[in-house]
This record gives sequence, C-alpha cells and structure tokens, in this order.
Amino acid sequence: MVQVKSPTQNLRSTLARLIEERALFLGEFKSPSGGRSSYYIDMAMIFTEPTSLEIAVSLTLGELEKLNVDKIASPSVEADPIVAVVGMHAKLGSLFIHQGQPIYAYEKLEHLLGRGKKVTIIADVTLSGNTVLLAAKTLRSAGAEVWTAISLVDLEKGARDLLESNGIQFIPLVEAKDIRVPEKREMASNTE
Amino acid sequence: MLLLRIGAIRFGEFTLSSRRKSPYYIDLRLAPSYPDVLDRIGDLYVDVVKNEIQPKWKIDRIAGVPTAGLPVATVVSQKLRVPLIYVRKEKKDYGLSKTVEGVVESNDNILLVDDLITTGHSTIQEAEILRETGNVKHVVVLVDREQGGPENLSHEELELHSLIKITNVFAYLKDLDAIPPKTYETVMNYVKASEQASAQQVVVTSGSSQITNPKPS
Repeated sequence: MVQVKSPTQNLRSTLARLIEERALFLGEFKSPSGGRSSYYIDMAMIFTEPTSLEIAVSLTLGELEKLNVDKIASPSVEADPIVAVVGMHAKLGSLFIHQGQPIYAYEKLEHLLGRGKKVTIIADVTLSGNTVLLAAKTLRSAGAEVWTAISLVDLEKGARDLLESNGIQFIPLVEAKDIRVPEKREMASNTE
Repeated sequence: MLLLRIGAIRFGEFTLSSRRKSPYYIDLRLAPSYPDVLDRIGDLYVDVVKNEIQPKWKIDRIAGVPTAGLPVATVVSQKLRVPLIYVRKEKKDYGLSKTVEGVVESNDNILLVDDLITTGHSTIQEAEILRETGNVKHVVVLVDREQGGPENLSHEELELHSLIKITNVFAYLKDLDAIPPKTYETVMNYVKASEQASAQQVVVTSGSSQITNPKPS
C-alpha cells in the first residue's frame, strides 16, 4: 500500500532524522529532574545550523498557523533561538521567560503583552513539562491567555498530562517514539 | 529611530551589570517583541558584516551572547547562513554540561555578535573563551556606549564594528525634542566622564607608549 504523507508529516520525519544525526547523544546522562537517561537530545545542535533551523522553523510555523495566536514565548534560554526566528517569520512578537522569570530589565510583561494576550509557548525539548508550566504561570499572572504549547521534541515524561491538566493544549512536533535510538550493541561496534 | 519606538532606551537612574550607575539604559531584549524591528536590526548587522568584515575575513561561525544578544545573533546566523555557536552563561549540570553550544572546530574564524558594548570587558572575556578553540578578530554590536569599548578591544586585537554610537542617538533625540536639554546634558556628561575614566585606566594598565587617543566626536 502506498502511504501518502502530508508535507507536515514529511517535515516531521525530516526533523526526526536530523535530530538522530546531529542532536542525539548516547551514554549515561543526568536529566534536569535528577533522573538518569541513556540518551540526551541537544536541540542547540539543530538551532545553530541554519538549514536544520529552517526545517524546525517551517514545521513550527505550520503548527502556529492552525492556532489563534497573538504572541509566542520561550520558556528557557535553549528555546530562545527558535522562538526569535519563528516570531520574526510569523510576524509575532516573542517573549522570553527563563525559569519562570521575564528577562527584561525594566519593561513589564503586562506592557509587552499589549492587546494581544493569546500566547503560545514554544519549547525546545519537554520532559516533565515543568519549565513550560512555570512560564505559563508567569505569563498568566501578567494577564496572558496561555492555551497552547508547542514542543519541538517531547520525550514523553509527563509533559502532556501536566500541561493538559493545567488547561494547556500540548502539541509535540516530534515525540520520543519517532526517534530511533541505536542499541548499545550497535554503538559498541561503532567504536571498534 | 527603532530603539526609541520600542522603548528600548530609557532615561533615569540605572545600575549596569558592572554595578556602575548610568543615567540611561538600553534593553535590546525588547527587540524580539517587535518582529519587524528584529528583522530590520538583523539586516543592519548583515550589512555591516557583508561590507566591513566578509571582504577581508572569512567567517566560519557566528557567536552569540546570551541572554540579550542570542536572539539577534540567531537571526544574523540565519540571514547569513553561517552556523551559530554560543557560550552558556551557566554551565548546565545535566545533559552534556557543555560551555559552548553548537559546533566549533579548531581554527574556525568566529565572529562575535552582541547587542551593545560599554567598556568591552565582558566582550573580551567572551572572546577569550572562544579563542580557546578558534580565531576571534571582529566584534559587531548594535550600540557602542562609547565608554572605552573600541580602545579596550583593540588592546586585545579585536576590532569593533558598531552600528550606532550612543552620542549620535542622544543628538538625534535632542534634535527631535524627544529628550529635554537637561537630560541631554546629563547623559552627554556621563559618556564624556566615563570615556575619560576608561582612558586613564588604559594609561595605568598599559603604559604611555601604547595609548590610543579616543577619537574626537
């Protein structure tokens, strides 16, 4: 049977392959929550390479088009590069909230929100979803309406449940199951 | 004037990251809130890079400086299609625990892109970290606060390319009656005084033979 893929599906698998090539690191890693993982995904490896960034941006723009959005927000410094470029192309203002704190020197978040109060958060990688929720709370207390969050890669460690139970529709672009993590056996043979 | 329109320049009393006081403050972290401004600023950087740097120096990497300088550096990287790297402010204690994000190879020519320069000390620190791997020769900033930045950089063999000099911004604002004459006088005196203080520092640290006199403005 011939499977017809939509352009978005193609972009998703292209991004998944790029992550496997450039951003996937194997070994034993500490996760931000203190747990251990046999692999680590570093989206900075995608955002720092212009062609890969462009693919990630196109995919994000495609999802944003379906939503009713006034502003976008980054929940951490790691997501700042993609949020800035997506904002520029979508002609949406981008806000930066790092670990729940707005980064601005004197400007109030309330003022930056202006009349456009519908904010979508864009994360680089989500695990528990805590960082996204923290940004959502800060934005909401400044008067924003946060209904949606996009994650470039969701590692399926609870982000969906946490965010949806807080009234945030969760849209992962690539999920852990889309990423092919090579078996340790193969890795060992690579190094021989 | 882009900066004024988005409220990125404020007058009052501010404490800079160096803990020094300043009668004005520029916050370019506001630029991405206005996508057309970010786009325009990105183009201004690109023009300078294409006209002043690329003809004489091949650029392999663009280095951004978090937090304020990272969004615009990413935009410049995308517009020029040159890969980005950035030095983390705090090393992560999880994942890869890297200091420099992105790919950089030894002997890569790295262009340092930042939002603004004051005395240049933090820029020099940034360049030193990058020089552990590659070559750093040019620095591009949007605003030169004219407090000794280019002179201090030149002692470290770094050439500054600034898009705007702050005293020009003040003069422009005064001509438009956008700032009261008294504010203009306060900020101009502040710039002049800190420029002199910086020049004196140079005398102390590098001896009289190496002094480069600040250009008359």
